[in-house]
Amino acid sequence: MKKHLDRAVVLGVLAAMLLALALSVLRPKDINYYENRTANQMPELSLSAWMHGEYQDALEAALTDQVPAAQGLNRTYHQTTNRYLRSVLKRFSARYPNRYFHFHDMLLFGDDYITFFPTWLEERKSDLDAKAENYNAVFAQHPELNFYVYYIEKDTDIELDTGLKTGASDYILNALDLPEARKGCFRVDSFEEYSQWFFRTDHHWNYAGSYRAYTQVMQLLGKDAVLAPQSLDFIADGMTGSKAKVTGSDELFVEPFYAYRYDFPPMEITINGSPAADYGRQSDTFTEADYGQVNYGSFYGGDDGEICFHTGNAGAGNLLVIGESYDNALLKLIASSYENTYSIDLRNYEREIGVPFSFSDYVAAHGITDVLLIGSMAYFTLEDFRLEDAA
Amino acid sequence: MIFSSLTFLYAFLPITALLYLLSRNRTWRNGVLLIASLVFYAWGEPKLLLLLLLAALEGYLGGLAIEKTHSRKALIVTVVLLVANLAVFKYLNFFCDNLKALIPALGNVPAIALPIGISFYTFQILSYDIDLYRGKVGVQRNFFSLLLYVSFFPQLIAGPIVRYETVEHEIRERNENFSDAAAGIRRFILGLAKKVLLANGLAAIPEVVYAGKPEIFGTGAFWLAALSYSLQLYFDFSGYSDMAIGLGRMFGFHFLENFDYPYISRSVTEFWRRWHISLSSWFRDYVYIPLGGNRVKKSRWVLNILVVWALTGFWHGAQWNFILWGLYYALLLLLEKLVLGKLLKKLPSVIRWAYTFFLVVVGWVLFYHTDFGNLGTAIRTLFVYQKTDWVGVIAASSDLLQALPILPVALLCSFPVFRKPIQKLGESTVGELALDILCAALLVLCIMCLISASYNPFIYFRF
Repeated sequence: MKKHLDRAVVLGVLAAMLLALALSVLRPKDINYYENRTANQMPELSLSAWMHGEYQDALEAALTDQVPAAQGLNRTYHQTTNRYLRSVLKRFSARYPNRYFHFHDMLLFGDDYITFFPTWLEERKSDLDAKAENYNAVFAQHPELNFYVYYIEKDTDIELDTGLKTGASDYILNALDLPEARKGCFRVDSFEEYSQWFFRTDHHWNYAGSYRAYTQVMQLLGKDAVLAPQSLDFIADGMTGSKAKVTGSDELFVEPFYAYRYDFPPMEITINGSPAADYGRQSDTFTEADYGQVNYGSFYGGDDGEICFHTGNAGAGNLLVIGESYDNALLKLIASSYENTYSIDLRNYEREIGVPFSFSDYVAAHGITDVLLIGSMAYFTLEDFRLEDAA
Repeated sequence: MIFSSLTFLYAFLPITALLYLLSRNRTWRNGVLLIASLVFYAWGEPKLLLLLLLAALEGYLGGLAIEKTHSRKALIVTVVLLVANLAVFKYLNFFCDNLKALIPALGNVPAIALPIGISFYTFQILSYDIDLYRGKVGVQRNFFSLLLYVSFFPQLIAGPIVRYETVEHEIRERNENFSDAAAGIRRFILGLAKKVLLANGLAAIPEVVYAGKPEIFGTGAFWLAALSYSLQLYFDFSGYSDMAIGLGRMFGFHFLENFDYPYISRSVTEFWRRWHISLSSWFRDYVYIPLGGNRVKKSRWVLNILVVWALTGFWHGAQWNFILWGLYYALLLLLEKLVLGKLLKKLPSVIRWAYTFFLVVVGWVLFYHTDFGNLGTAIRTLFVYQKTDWVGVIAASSDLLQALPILPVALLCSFPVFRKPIQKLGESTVGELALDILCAALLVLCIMCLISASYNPFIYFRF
């Protein structure tokens, strides 16, 4: 009997491993659904790739995605460890609400808020300087345009336990050659404010934060007519935000999704050149089936390369908004007060429209009168958001 | 390539095993193992494969010369060449850096990359040539057979240091069977679990504590880190040795044990009979005894001990802290042999164990910190009380929090509490089946961790 068992162990293990390898090579998966990305594929062998270790790294990465049950094992591992971590950290975080607790590459603060680490000014000074130089050159090139800049502070701009600010917002705003009245900031000065205006599990602002920003931006743009919310609606109960997803704890961190409903004026919308019935799902009604499906992007709209709003409100001016995802929640609101509003996301424009974005050409072609540059720390530091045709 | 990688588990090992099974005779089978071993080494060190081949050739030609001339000169030339090879590739940077610190006017010397496993394979080749000179083994006239001994992938990059006499016969003739192969697989999985589940799992504790803010991590946290690192190192290295022994057995080779529950030792002398046995016995047989061992004047014997342990420390790495760590053990061993030996025997076992464990854990602190500033801080914090902010420790890293439950499991597993129950279980067929199911579960857990975790270096790689 022992002999048979030993034989079964040897042949069983060998067959299982060879079968797994064969399946990985012959029937590769295209998508890693758990991590929501393209799955790594088996690399092609070449002497050069071998000598530089690239083939070896690529093969290991491919096997990580391709071996049978890899995604299920990955999910089980993260769910199990995160369940344990969350149960311990939740107790500590509730007992010490004014203390940061590390949770993978994020922080837990104030009894269930997943937050980023503050990004101190010294770490980003050179990037902010480069961006200020870039924008100032654009301002100088286009004196005919009204430029407005709006900086969005969030958890990266404040140490929530001490209230210490990083100073990045003041630094970049002071460095821009614009009158003070054309520069605005969504200030967050305490955790109380942060918790009022931002989601617990997502990096975006919530209905209250985005509405506050909308009113401030309208004031900045010199527009008096502001849409008032009609109601505060409960949309869904199971939202898992981006921060929860990044930590691999989708099902552990969920929160309800509320939204203000507005009476938007009629407007024609085109997204990347194609007519669209709406931008986002702000006018939809939601059902039980939407549980867990609603999130910031699906409700307010995505980071499309180009979105155009036409209200027919003649003489109200043409606005160009160059921003990031934070402005998704504001676009329809702001567009209500302009004849034409154009939103550009520089991360996606060239890929989705097919040509590089040229600021000068764009403003000339669309008769732009006002330009709003709006974003958070990442927007004012990353190369992706650089206006390329500036000097 | 490392054993705890998906490439090894899903590609290298099954393909090698399949080709091995399909090979008809000993020559073909050795050929499969040799080519697999060279691919294994070239996987991580494509350019430095040549160095391995040259070292093996040095040993081979030296062996032929020793056999032909029976002269001490031939042995000395061979040993000098091999040691010079090791000195250049492992220690030249160290010597140059220290020389430059003394004489800043000296120019920069280009850094030389440390070839993986150079300490292990050099010591194996040295043992072959020395044993050949001593007449303990016969000459190997087939270069490829000697190369297989030197480069055999289970023990190539992290030991154990296999003497030629252990495998001399098995290279020529060995009896592979399913019983041995199954036992090898079980041993490999056990080693993999030690490495992936315990050693990797514990790694975050010393990493976070030693890099953390002093106002958070006080004496308690530093002892926690020291204990965790002691266990991490044990499971890392003994896990690797288990995998190597298991892999050898799969292919019909029987390597000697390298660890024997070192943390149950009741004296430092006993600890070194249980820890990295192949290294300590190598230094005993090839350095300590040729220096005269203990059959010399007391002053010379003390010197011999100091030299052997300074070299043992230096073997672990080209840093001063390793030499300090080696001398620390030299002093402890001298103390035990000259003063404490008789006293220790009179003490209760538990006190002897506590004394040994305490000294070994402190020793690993010396081993961990290559930077003397950090080492000073660590020693000071261990022995001069500083409060630990335990909430701060919990807050500092979720990796540390994740590692904490592993600590008691690892501590338990470092004692032979499961040895007898497992042996007993293995005596019946049902028990053996249960053990196989346990092994299968451990393998799945390891694969799960490998797929999910990015942290996976072998600590002993650098030696």
